[in-house]
This record gives sequence, structure tokens and C-alpha cells, in this order.
Amino acid sequence: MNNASINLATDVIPYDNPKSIYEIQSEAIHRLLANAGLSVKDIDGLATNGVERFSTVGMSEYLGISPSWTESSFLGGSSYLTFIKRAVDAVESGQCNIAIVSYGSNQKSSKSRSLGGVIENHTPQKFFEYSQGVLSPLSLYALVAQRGFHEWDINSEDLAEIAINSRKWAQLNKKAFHYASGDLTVEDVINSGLISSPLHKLDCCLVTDGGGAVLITNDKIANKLDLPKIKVNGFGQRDTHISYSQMPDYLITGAKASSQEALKNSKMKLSDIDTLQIYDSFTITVLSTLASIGIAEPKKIIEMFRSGEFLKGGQYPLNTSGGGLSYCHPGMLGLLLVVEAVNQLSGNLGQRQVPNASTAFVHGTGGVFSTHASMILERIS
Amino acid sequence: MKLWQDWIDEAKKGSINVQECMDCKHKQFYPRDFCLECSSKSLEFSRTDGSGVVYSYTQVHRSPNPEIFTVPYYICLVEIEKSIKIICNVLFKDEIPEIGRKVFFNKISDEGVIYYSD
Repeated sequence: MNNASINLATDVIPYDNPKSIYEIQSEAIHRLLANAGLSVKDIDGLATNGVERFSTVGMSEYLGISPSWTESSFLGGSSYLTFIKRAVDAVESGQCNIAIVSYGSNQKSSKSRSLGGVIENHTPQKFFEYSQGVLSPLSLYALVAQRGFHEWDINSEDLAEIAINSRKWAQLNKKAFHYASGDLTVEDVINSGLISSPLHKLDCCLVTDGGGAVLITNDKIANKLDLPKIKVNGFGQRDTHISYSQMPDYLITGAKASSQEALKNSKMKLSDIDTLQIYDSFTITVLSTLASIGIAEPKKIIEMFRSGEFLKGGQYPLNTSGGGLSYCHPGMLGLLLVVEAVNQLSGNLGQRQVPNASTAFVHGTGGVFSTHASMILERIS
Repeated sequence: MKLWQDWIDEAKKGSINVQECMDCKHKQFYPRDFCLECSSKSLEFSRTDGSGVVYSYTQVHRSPNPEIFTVPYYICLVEIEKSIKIICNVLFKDEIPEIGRKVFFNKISDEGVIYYSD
């Protein structure tokens, strides 16, 4: 068996110059391979989705390659963590040697996002839930937040701390949508207007274009090209439901089981982790996920936000790019969570670099708290 | 899909149903072709008393379909039987919803919108 590692990662955020999904991915992939000393023709593994019905086939055709391994399961926001794990497995088993996991979305410039979400007429969700006027996925996250207020004794001011934390990080990231927007206050969040109570506009992630790519190779190639090596030391996945009515627990999610599994197979504890990258579709997503993975009780987590434990110099530097709330959110953030973790572990992030970061915990959430993937990354060389 | 249409047709006649297993008595929603507990295929609709309890609520301020939904309106997750919840619209009389409030099935519209009220 070969040993495989993640070597390089990049984001492409075309704010001013709209591009197609194919162009966003192509730009990310070309940049990555040029940095690695490889060419597009060297790719023999590709994972992507959301391009077209035949996503990997269409993207491969655009790139002019015929890969021996592909993956394009649709799991929403956790897809790309799963793809990375599958790509590592594929390289280790020899199905391919140079794998790319790439993503692109032009949802903002193409105005492809709708308030009611994507509705498939033959599904139980359509029969029993979408016909009820839910903003999808916003209203379900709102229902979780309201229940959380009831059981956890928290309020809108508490959730606002999570948006404020992201904004602080975004001010250290020139690529962040809110890089130059200044600090956020609790009043700013509360006054931004309710969309689906108790969630306000600034409790919700951005809607932007964007994408990126990650390179995974075997260690022989990485050594030859003198590339960094970041290992996937632990991984866990749980998919629990897609219809809201079937969610097994509305506050503690599948993140509990997926994170326990990832920690168990990495033989690490949360206290060994240098940075957390947690999917932040909404402020409540972060709180529920942090509680589910066992950082602390929800009220204590809010206290930790207030005392700076999730900022630079804190115990758990969190969403250091500014996350979906303040950096970018191109439909699915999963790949960009991994990109930020890989770049933190590569130690080249300037102002927002977590000093000596060697381990990262990444968590992807898809659907309506439906899919969960937890991943522990460690820099080896 | 016929099972789901049957459920909606029953609601149009005034009853909110769950599915009950004739072998192990397990109750489930939404309707399926087998019992999630014992895999039996012997399932029948069992009529609830049409009441439920608000498990959570959200007041929606942007309408995904303004012809049907005029903002603001309340969407609730309502517990209709132990461990069985449905998503529906709730018409609150005093406009101040709360978790735990008892609500009653009101109607289902031609578009399939399920309305409860307190």
C-alpha cells in the first residue's frame, strides 16, 4: 500500500469578475498544479459535484483528462471532506496517484439560488415539508435555534457573538468578503433584520461565487516534488436524515458520532487540536456543532466566544478565514474549510496564521444538519 | 408516492394520520411500505386526535411563494404523537407563539399547506 497525503490547497474567489463553474475549477486546478510542479495531464483522480448531472465526467472533459478514479456523491456541505478521505484511500490503494478534489460555484452571479431551495417533486420532503412555505434550509436552522433558546437558555445576543468572531477573523483575510467591513457589534446583528426568527440576516452565511482545489498524491511523488505532507489522521461520517421531520435529535446532531469516530481513529483529544474549521452556514450551526463535538455546554461555549477563546491566541482558533459568515459561501463551503485548514498547517497565512499550527479539526455539515463529516489533519513534513 | 397522496387526501377529509404497524404496533410518519421497527408490510393509517404540541417555531419574513404565503407567518415543528413531528403552518390567535403550546389541526389547502391553530 502507498501512503497518501494532502499536499497543496487553494481558493479562487472571483468577486468582481464572474466566471463559469468550469472556469473557477480550472483556475484553481491550474494554480495548484503549477505550484506543485505538475500539469493537468498528470491528474488521474478527480472528485467534484454540483457541476452538472455527470459532474466528474463533464469536468474531466473540460480539463481534457480521463481519470482512473472519480467520486461525486452529493452530501451538500460535508461532501468535500468525504471526497478528501475517499481520494486519500484511492491513492493509498493505487487506484490513482495524483488526485484533485475541486469545487466551484457561481450561484451569486448566475442568480441560481432560490429562497425555497431545490425542490424535487417525487420526494417525501416535497409532499410533507416544502409545501409548507419553509425557507430552505434557513427555516429549519431557525427551528433548531428557537428550540436551542428554550433548552439551552440562550438568546439572539448570544448567537451574535459567533458572527462577531467570524468578522474579526475576516479582517485578517484580504480575500474575505467582509475584509474591509469593520467590526461587527451585537446591535448590528440584531438590527440586520429577522429573516426566519430567531435568525437575522447577519446570523446567515454570505451568498457568493467561489471555489477551490486540493491536491492529494502518494508520498513518493510528494517527496520527489518536495511538497508539504498533511495526513488525514482521523475521519468520521454520519448521515442522519434529509426530511426535517426525521431528524433524530434537533440539538445534538450527527456531528457527535462523526467527531468521536474521527478523534478515536486519530488517537487525539480535542485539546490536541490547534485550529477548528467548522461549517458555519448559520450562527446556530456553529453552536450546535461545537456542543455536539463536545467542546463544552452551549452556555459555556458562548462565554468562550465572549472571552476570545475562538480568536487568535485563544484555545481554539475557529474559522480563521472568516468562514461562511464573513469570508465567502459559494453554495457549499466544505472544500474551503479544508483549504483553510491545509493552509494553516502549511504555515503561510500571514496575519491570520495560528503560530506553529500542526493539527486541525474540520467539520462539514450538509442539508438540514443532515450530513456530517469530521476530519483531523496533521502536518507531517 | 400513492401512500403520500393517500395521507394528504385523508387530511383533506379532516384527519391527520400516522402509520401503525399491525404486527408490532410501532407508529411512524411519513408513510412507508414497511415498518421501520419490525419490517412488517402490514401497516394501516391510524387517526390522531388532531392535536399536537409546538416543539419549535419560526416566524418567516420573506416569502418563497407570495401567492400562497403572506409574511409574516409561522412555521412550526409540531409533535403530533410521541416522537412523531410534522412541519406545518400555525395560525396563532394572539400572535405570540410559545414552545409547548397545544395546537389543533385546522385544514389542509389545495396546495398541500397544513394549517394548525391554537
